[in-house]
Amino acid sequence: MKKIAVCGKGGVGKTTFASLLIHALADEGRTVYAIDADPNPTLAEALGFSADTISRITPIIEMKTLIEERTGAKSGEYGSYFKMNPTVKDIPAEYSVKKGNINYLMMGCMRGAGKGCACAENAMLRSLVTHLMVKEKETVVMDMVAGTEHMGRGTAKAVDSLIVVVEPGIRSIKAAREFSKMAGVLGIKNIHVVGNKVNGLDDENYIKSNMSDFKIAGFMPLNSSAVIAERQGAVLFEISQKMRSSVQNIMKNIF
Amino acid sequence: MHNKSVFILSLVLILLGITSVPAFCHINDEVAMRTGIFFEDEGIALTLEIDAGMLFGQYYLEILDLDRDEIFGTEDVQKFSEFVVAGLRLRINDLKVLPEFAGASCASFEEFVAGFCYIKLCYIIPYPEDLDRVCTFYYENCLEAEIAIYSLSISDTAGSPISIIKEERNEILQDSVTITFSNAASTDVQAEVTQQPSQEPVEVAVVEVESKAQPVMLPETELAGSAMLINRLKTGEVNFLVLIVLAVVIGFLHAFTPGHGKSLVGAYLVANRGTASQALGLGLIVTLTHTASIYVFGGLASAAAYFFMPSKIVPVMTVVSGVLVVIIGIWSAVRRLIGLEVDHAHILPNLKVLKEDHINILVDGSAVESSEFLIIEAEEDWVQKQLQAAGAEGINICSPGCETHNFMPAIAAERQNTQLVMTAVETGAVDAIVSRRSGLAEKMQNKKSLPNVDIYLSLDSRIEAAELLRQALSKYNDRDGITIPEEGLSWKKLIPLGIAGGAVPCPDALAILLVSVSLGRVALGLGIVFAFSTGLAAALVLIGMTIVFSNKLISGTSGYRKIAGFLPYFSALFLIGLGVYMIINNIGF
Ligand SMILES: Nc1ncnc2c1ncn2[C@@H]1O[C@H](COP(=O)(O)OP(=O)(O)O)[C@@H](O)[C@H]1O
Ligand SMILES: [Mg+2]
Repeated sequence: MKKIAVCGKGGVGKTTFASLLIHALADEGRTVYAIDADPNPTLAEALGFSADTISRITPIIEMKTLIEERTGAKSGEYGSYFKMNPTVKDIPAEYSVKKGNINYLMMGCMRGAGKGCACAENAMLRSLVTHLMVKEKETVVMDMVAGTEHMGRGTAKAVDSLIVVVEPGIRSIKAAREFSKMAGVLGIKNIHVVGNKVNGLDDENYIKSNMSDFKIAGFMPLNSSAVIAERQGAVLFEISQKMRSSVQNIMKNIF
Repeated sequence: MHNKSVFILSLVLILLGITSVPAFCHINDEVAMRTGIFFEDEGIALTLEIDAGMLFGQYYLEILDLDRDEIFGTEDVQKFSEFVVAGLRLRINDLKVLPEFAGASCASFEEFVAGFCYIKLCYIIPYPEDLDRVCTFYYENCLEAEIAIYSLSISDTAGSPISIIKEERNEILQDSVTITFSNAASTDVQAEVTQQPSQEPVEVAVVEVESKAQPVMLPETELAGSAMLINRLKTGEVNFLVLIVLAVVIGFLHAFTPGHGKSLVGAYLVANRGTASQALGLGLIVTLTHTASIYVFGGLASAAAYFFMPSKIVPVMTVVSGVLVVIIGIWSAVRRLIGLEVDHAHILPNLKVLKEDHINILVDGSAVESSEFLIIEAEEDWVQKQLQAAGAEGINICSPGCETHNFMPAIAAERQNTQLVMTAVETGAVDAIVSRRSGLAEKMQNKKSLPNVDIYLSLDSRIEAAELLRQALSKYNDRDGITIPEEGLSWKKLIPLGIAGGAVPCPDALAILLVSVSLGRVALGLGIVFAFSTGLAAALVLIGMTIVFSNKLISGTSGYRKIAGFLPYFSALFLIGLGVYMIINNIGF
């Protein structure tokens, strides 16, 4: 049972990497919970679920009756009591869509202030993330928005590895420094860097020299197969030998 | 979405604004004056019918029954006539004329007491000597110019040689008219008319009246609304079913006249995001209170009729309830400002989240981080074992909600939070509190009636969370006297509001009852008042439902939330305003 969270600047390839890692873990015979915590969820596509299946998924945060039943509060009502520890044990198994060993769960977008109180929904998501990271017996990989807003310190401590994806460019590296600072405050012990879209040794060295104070778990090549898989709805892990071996290599370094 | 919310909000405001539309059914604070001018052979017959709304009955009664013998004697009527004539301007050919009193009829003293105030006066004005030429008759009614609704009907008698050539009346107020007339037998009439062209500009309405024209009499049904009901009662045309249906319809319309808690209902439901059942409940409570208050006041008023006129009682009652309403308004504003009253806390704190058979831990908005340690620790095996040993079902971590969405001053937010926590602690089911607010512990100690609960400022680790749980578990079996309100506290708040809305006396309904009492048809009157109140309730429920429904539609938008945050203050202001209006409006009596 490993608990992995993937973060990084938008577009660096978090979802692509997460999907590869999930397949690699499932390939080893583990049951994997693939958690899509991106408000603009694309992990299901990357994992190769059919468009039809995806269209029928409701994000947890939009399950109004479930949330009301579990937290005891109507959404949007502030200044009224709600339960902060709703029962969520059954949710990963009950509400995920399955493909082989992979169980996909779409969290949905956590709402901020200004759009009315989302206390009940947010309590639900927080409890679910806490449960997945702290209590869940199986392996969990979470594809995150950018940072770590779903987690408090108690949950962060349970994360085995926070993987920060970067590309060979200063912007994603700057962002990575921010995320790891936040993660440090939360108490995440293991932070790994994965360099993606790397074209040759020059790119690798650029990342290495700019992130010498980080643990670099490995690199993934800039490869047209990623775009082709995306376009065809194919599973990158299955169609690209290169990608497969690089993610398996990274996995070894993380664990 | 934004456009939609603006649209719906204005709809609600228009609904609330209907209060200011002139009242169709409110005839009790008006005086209807119908003047008839008829050109008879003997002279100009002038009839004056005065139909005073109940609130003026007293005033007329004092003039009519000068000797206080409770009978309208001939002398009384003549004195009254003098009073009326003094308020008339009458001129023939620009010379002042005095009308000759020709008779009168009026309602009995008892009917006056019951609020049915009707007087008819008849006069004759002789024609001038030189009737051969074209003459003018000028009439102006200056009686009760502020409050009266005038109507004029003018005609000449068929077959009489006297005929009207033209009339120029004040078309809007109907309080004055200049009539040009002549003796048709005279031959040079037409010539004179052409020689004397009208000096008035063409725009002035000039009505040519045919000699056989029907009087432009306003129909009896002009006595709209409640007065119509009274008339039906009075004339004895009692088809029970028709009367009841009529009462329901009039009651419904009546709800749209000022007062009647309609705006109260609206403002309350908007501000508190009420439910459909609350809208229904509020409407029903208002109706029941309204009906009851009329029965009570009706009973009192008819019992006390010989000491106080109902027309005197009603304004006094209105002032008294005005004062009450102001007090309620100020009280609710003060409670809000000092944070005793909160948006939802007091109305819908959702206390049912607390569970009697659980360990309940409150974590307030300032300590959300701590909840995570509690959530994690509560799932540990040792906790589950101890729960079983203590006979508790589970650990219930509750939050009164975040504060980030509230638009209120920090002090008020602080007080609101304290109030929320105390409301929960009062149930006796709270085992521990986690709150960063330093003042909370002190405030709770000051309130001796509250059960003693441990307050933790924050939890910084699972070890601290475990310690809290251990303490709470050990005390679980010592707690007693737990009362968790089933439905929240909303109805507690709703019922007094409905009563306040319904208790404001409604003169029209009271008049109906008083008249039927004075006519010996008490049961019928009671029935009609109930039907009337039902119509009123239907209108209130309709308004409430509209508001609840549009509330649901717009509740998701952030602009609305900003407004909603301030609405409770507006409704408090509105209450004060309403009360002041009621007082000012009646203090003159
Ligand atoms: N190694 C790679 N080589 C080429 N294209 C890549 C690679 N990794 C990701 N991409 C492409 O980059 C885009 C962004 O990737 P995605 O995984 O969705 O990023 P993120 O989840 O961080 O926003 C996608 O179109 C994806 O196909
Ligand atoms: Mg992504």
